[in-house]
Amino acid sequence: MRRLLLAQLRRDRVVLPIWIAATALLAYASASGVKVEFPTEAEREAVIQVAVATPSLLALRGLPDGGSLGAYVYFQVFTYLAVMACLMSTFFVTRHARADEERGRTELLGATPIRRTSPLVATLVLGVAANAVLGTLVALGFMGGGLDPLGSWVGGLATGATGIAFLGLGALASQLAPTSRAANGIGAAAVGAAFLLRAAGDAAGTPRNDLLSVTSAWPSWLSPIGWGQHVFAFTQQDLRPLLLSAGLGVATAVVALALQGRRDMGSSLLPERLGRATGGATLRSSVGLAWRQQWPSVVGWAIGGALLGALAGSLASRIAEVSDLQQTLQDLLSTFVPGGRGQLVDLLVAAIFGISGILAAAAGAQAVMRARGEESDGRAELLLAAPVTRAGWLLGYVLVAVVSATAVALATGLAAGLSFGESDRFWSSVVAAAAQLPAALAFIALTTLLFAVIPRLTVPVGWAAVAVGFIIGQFGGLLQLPESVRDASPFTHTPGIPPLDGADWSGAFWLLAISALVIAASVVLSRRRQLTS
Amino acid sequence: MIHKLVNWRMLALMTGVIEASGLTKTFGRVRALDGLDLSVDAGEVHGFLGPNGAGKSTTLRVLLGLVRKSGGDVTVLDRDPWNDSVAIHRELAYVPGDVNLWPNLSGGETIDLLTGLHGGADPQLRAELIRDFELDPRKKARSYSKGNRQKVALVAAFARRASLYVLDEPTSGLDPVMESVFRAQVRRVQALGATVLLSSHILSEVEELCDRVTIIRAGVAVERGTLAQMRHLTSSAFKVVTDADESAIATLPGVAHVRRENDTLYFDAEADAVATVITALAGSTVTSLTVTPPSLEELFLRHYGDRIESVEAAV
Repeated sequence: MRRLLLAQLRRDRVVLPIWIAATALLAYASASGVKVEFPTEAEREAVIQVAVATPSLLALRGLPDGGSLGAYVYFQVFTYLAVMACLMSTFFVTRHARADEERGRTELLGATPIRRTSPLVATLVLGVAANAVLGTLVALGFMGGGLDPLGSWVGGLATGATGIAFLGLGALASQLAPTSRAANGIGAAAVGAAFLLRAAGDAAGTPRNDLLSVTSAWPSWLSPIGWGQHVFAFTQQDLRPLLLSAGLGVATAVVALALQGRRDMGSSLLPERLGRATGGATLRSSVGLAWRQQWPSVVGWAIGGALLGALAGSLASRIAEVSDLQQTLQDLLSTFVPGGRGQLVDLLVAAIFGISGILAAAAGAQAVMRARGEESDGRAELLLAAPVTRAGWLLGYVLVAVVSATAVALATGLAAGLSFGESDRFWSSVVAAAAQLPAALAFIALTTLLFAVIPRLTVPVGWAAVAVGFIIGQFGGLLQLPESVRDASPFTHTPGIPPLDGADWSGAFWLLAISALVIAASVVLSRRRQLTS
Repeated sequence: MIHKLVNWRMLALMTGVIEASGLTKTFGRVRALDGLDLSVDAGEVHGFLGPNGAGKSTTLRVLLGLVRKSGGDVTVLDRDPWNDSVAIHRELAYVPGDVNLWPNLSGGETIDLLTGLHGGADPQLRAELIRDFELDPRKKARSYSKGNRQKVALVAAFARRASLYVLDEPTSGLDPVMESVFRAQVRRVQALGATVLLSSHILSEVEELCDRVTIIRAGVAVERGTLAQMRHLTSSAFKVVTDADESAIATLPGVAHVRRENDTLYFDAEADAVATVITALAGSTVTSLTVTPPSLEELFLRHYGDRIESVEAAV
């Protein structure tokens, strides 16, 4: 058992620490961020009053409980800490359970003198330990951000306990699903359901008399994340909901272990679905394959964009009704938007469209990175041995990237336009979203160039560029970065603010021209290089 | 169609479907190919043998234009494989050594994708191949074993007419029954006039299918020719029960490894030396004589490395 634990720990020595560190950093950053942004209780209470009156904000954040520093931070960030812990836990179990079984590693271990359930027990023990470390570091992160120590520990405990609930659920998913991909799908869907249930419950909650706190509706009580919220780590410090989390974790783990002890190796409760026996019309070209491989993620990104757009639209129309807070919020929001000063609503919408631009850039860059994955996994070899030109093959991925980015931008714009409920805003929203496209295209061009020239760096440098673009675009003003640094991001050069009558489109045209040129050059360059693994 | 037939005839008239001379390929400091010569004639099944890491797969990738040669000359179907890869690929079918498929496509979809890029499979042939290779085309590639992934690539390769088949250890994951299905397919396409370059480790397969073989080691061709020619170059093992003087035999040219155990004399003699050996033995009493020609294994092992020589030395 000790050897199994050590072996699994060693295999996870990179991935697990990254999850834990990222979650703890999120706790620290939001605690210290709130302290800087809203230093006084009065300011925090003002924001919470708006939130209490705005169901979409409650859905997005959680349950407010007064304007104290700790309560505000817990309201703002606990949901996301919990989501991180839940995803970490389910992915962790899948990596060691179903993925090992799928790849045949379990078979190797199963031939050694250990019980059939031992590897899963080791995984669960390690998973509990990982959540304990996560909870501790989250608590330290809160304290480092200047929050009350007792509340910080309770908050860390709630985060870890929610993760443990999903550790058991993840173990169960690995018993149900035939492949690691499907197991991760079930796990992520469970996390998504937990988020949505509590979002619905919180949004439908009733404000209490002080107008600074909300009693959630019943759906929140169906969600482990909701249970964690109801601990109210910095105010009520009620640990009873965590019994539910621990109970769910133990119950699902017991069922998973029972199944593991009984079933054949490699079998699963859900059967593997069969595919078609012949290829359809799309599978006749390399472009068709690129599309077939990626349309689900294109749809996924577009749905993300549409949700963001709908949120922007509904928030904006809501905020237009609340007037007393406008000055504070306006100051905050104007730091997000390059160069502009307009109506508050416009600023807010522009800020959210900035995020949609990043979504579009990420979707596009990811589509190009797929080409690199095909190459390094050896599948490109099979395809390029057919009469397919390397340039045509790469262009297929660039094409899907452009379609993907456009779909995200348009979905955001349309959803925002529709949810405004004012017809004169519809077209300006669509145009504002489309205005982000040239910048997204610049990221597609950069990733394509990387693929053509330094293929091994396509994925890491490609993502790093998107991350830097996001940070400069969203926080460049907040962090008071120098103008020259902000100019390095393509997003600085898009016309940001609707209505766009007087906007400066020259930057967008330049971006468009440069991107097209870089893509063309990359496709030519890719013809000159050989396949590398 | 007519265009294709004419093309076919022209290819049959040419020799040298694949011609490589002095081919080199370096990856950084590693020299994968070090002056390789390879010549494959139209209509033959050519065996391509060599130990792991000798450069077989690298050679095939250069021939396909997937990696670029560092030096030397190479033509495939009279074209340059790097600059004219698409034209070459139209007439070619390839099975890579390590078959990686798209996990979410079914076997049938993968076959149709790969043949579709060449203009489509012969539907009847496709159905027959799927039946003969006992492949379930509806299963997702994710759940295929290595052998089944290889079958998918083989069906995709054989389900359409090509003039050159490049096969990189295509049967390493197949069972003996499937291997015989594979051999039948190679014979079928050869009968149609196609050329096959077959990299393999399975000697019985090479012996049965190949007209000529090239053995490479450390990026150089160390032996080329028909199996009969190669046998001729190698010594046969003699086991003679005789009272003949062993020192008289040992001094004959072309004879080596002479040793005596009681009344039995063991030695190796080259093909040219057999006649003189028989003459020398004629003066003595010979009660038993066994001559064993070298097996393909021995031919193979002779070129496969110092490991074997050191084992022999130890004996």
